[in-house]
Amino acid sequence: MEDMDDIVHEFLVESRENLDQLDSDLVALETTPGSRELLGSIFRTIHTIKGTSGFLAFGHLERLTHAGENLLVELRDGRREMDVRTTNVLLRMVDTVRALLDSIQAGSGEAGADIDPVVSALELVLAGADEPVAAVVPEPVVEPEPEAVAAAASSPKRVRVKRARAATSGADKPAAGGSDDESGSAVDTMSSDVPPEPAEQLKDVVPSPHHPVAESTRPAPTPPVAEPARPSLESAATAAPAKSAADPEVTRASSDTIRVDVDLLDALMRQVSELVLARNAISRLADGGDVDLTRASQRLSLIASELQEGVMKTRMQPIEHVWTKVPRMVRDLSAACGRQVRLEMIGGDTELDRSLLEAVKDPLTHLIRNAIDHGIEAPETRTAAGKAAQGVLSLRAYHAGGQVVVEVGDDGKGIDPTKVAAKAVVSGVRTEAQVATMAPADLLQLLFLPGFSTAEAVTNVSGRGVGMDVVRTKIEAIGGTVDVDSVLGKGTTWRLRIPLTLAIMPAVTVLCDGHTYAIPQVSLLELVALDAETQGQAIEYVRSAAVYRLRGELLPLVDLREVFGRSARTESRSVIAVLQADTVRFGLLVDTVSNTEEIVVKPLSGRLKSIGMYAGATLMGDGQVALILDVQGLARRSLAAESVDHARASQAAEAAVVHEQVQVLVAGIGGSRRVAIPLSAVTRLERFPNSVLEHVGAREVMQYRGSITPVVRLDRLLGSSPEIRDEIIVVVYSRGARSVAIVVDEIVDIVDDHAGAHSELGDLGLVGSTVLKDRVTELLDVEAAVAMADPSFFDDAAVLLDNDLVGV
Amino acid sequence: MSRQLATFTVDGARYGVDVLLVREALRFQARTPVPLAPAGVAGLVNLRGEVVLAVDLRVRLGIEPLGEDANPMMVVVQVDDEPISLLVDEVGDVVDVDEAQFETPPDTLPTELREVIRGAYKLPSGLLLDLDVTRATAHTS
Repeated sequence: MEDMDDIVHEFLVESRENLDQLDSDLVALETTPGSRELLGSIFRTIHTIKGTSGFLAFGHLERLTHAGENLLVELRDGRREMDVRTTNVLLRMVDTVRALLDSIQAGSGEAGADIDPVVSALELVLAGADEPVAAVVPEPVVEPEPEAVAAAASSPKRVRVKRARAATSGADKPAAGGSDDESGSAVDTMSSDVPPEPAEQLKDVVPSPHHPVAESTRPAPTPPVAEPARPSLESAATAAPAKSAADPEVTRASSDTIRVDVDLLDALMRQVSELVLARNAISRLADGGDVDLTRASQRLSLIASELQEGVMKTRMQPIEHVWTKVPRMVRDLSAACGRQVRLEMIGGDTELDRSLLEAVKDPLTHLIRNAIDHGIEAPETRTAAGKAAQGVLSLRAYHAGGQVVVEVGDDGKGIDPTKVAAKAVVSGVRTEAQVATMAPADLLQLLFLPGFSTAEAVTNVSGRGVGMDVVRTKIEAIGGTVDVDSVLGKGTTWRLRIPLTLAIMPAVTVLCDGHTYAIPQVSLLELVALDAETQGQAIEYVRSAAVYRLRGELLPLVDLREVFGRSARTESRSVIAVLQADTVRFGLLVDTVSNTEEIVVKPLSGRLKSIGMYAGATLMGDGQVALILDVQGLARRSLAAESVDHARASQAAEAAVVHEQVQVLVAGIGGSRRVAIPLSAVTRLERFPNSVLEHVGAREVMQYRGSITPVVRLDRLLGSSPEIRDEIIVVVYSRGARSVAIVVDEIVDIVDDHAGAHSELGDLGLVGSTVLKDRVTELLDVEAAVAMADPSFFDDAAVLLDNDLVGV
Repeated sequence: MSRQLATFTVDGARYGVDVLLVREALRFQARTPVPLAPAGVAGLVNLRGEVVLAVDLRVRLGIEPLGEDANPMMVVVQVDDEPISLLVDEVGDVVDVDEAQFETPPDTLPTELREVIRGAYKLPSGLLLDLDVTRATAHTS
């Protein structure tokens, strides 16, 4: 219901503005009857109100504006000249519309104004089109009217002025140019013709003073009080006491919001950006300076941040603005595709910069079309698969990590990675060998390649293969990212990550060969510092390609110095910035990381865009220009798709053939025994009080992250003597959505395990033993241990969530 | 028809550009080099909060480019709605020139220089070369 209220509220605000314009337009039209521009504007306004009121089921309003529109069509098409009578009746209509709006605003629906007389008056004028113009309201009769109107309408002052103007403009004419045919007739009728009209007007437009008690829901029952806010407040209180709390807001609607030109906001935003830069410069200067300066700079910093936030807020709009059209679209699409779809929208109040909102509109539409056409199956298929016939399409928006995440999810058939792979091979974007080594999540990323579609049939809704790459291009153009998450048979979720604003973004500044570069925080996954001792060994080579073992996985390395053709690094220290560029993760080797700061993005000269390495430039606190690295471009340039695949392939080969070194977690299990658990099997290490342990039958379980997690006690499993403690140390092993808690006695270390030292000597639950740190350490058979606690743990191979995706 | 040209010298020769194109002349400004940029791009300059591309004309004029650590003066010109900072040795006066003084470049001038030098004004003080800024800064490679 609240959604509805918002829409109505917006409608009221907008219509009021339009009506004000309409008043003056109508009056102006009377003086320049031929102006097509004015007529067009009037027609549009009435048409808009008519359309919206039809949509919001305000039948009276619709009927009234429809009648007015009919008259306006004649005027617009030149079949009728604007005359005083027409103007009057149109203005009357405007007033009645206003009265209706007041009544709606007061919460009493459309009961507030009787439209029938106005409608018939309109029709009368319309019907009398061919008759010689006769009825015109003479001045003396118009005069009493304003007061009455004032009582009824919520903005009496304006109405009175407009009325007076309408009357005077009619009266002015003869004085100005008596020879004019039309104004001549106006004068004639003005002096001769009279009453039925004014009397009717008084009675109809303004019935309230006459029946204030009978119609208690009227917006203006308190007779001639010239204060617009009070009447509606009071009437709201009587008409709908339950709603009275919300009404002050409604009443303020028209006065407390202003419309501001977006250009002005853009200009403000630019200036604030400059201010942020100046602030950065000053805080740098104040660093280590005297106390007063530091204090002043801190205040400046605070104020600048608040101002920045404030200005950003002015540009923010809830994502609902884009979503409002979705229900209708979903309805139409599901009808066209023969689907039954229930739409869920969560987080519509999540706010986004206006320009970004515009930019996500099309991608969102595309994803929704896609979800209905390809994602959600036909009802029969769904029931056959044991799902509810009605599919669910969910839109979610939320803030996460300084970004707005917009998800489009369906519970449809999901995307089959093998199909994607097959398609990739057929269309020649990847070779058979390449797809064989790709993880399912990487295969799904292929969907974003240009011209890639897995749709079996091209429909008029989607499937023409111009989809996802366009979505990605559009989202990347605004500094966002797209990824997809799909479980075969369960559904697909597309996730758009969008920065809050375009102009200012958080970034990490790094140094390379004495120059500063900025890396957008969006693309940065983590930083790994290499110190003098470890650097030599940490960076290894697959032929000429440098790689780094990041938690057991090979990370291709790109040396920024090499990319830029600078002299090789002489310092022994360096930092790996682990970056994510669409499908690939890679490490960028830089000299040092200097800072994280909010940078203001300055456009780059067109002459430098073709380099494809820079997303823009920014100014640092010291006034130096720094280039913003385009992570995607960097990846494209430095890691050709082949070489990435090559790295993967060699990684797979290395893992299969050599298997020489694996990082393991060494844990004590009591009785001075040590067990090594492959680090790749460890998701988290946690410490819990003993009391978390509960039982399901004979099994020990605990509640971990909202689900019941089976517990394996390694000491019991491996027959060691358990020590009773208040606290348990848990190694969490997760696979997809399922986890197992492995309880150990203590965590000793994380070390490299050389396969060469392995011995076959083992026992139940072990795969062998090895010597680590001069002690015999048992190698845990993780799968066996887990299966002991949860026999069905490995059954659901399909639910495998890929690590890559989770890490994004 | 007379024109006004803003003049500057590069490697001993005097060049002129239409004064209406010139935004300002600057003393040395710190430049941020742009790795991988086409030859002739001398870096980026912070011009009161605006990031402006600096172009070393020498490259286009077939002269050995300045080093990264040189601190030349700059003439900021407006090219296709974009400000570009030209590195010059010295900024000269604005001079009035007349069409009568103009002569197209000699046939002996290499073709690539013909593209950027429209011709010369024969002034009493010496030759003033009429530089086509748009061409001189476009495709700086």
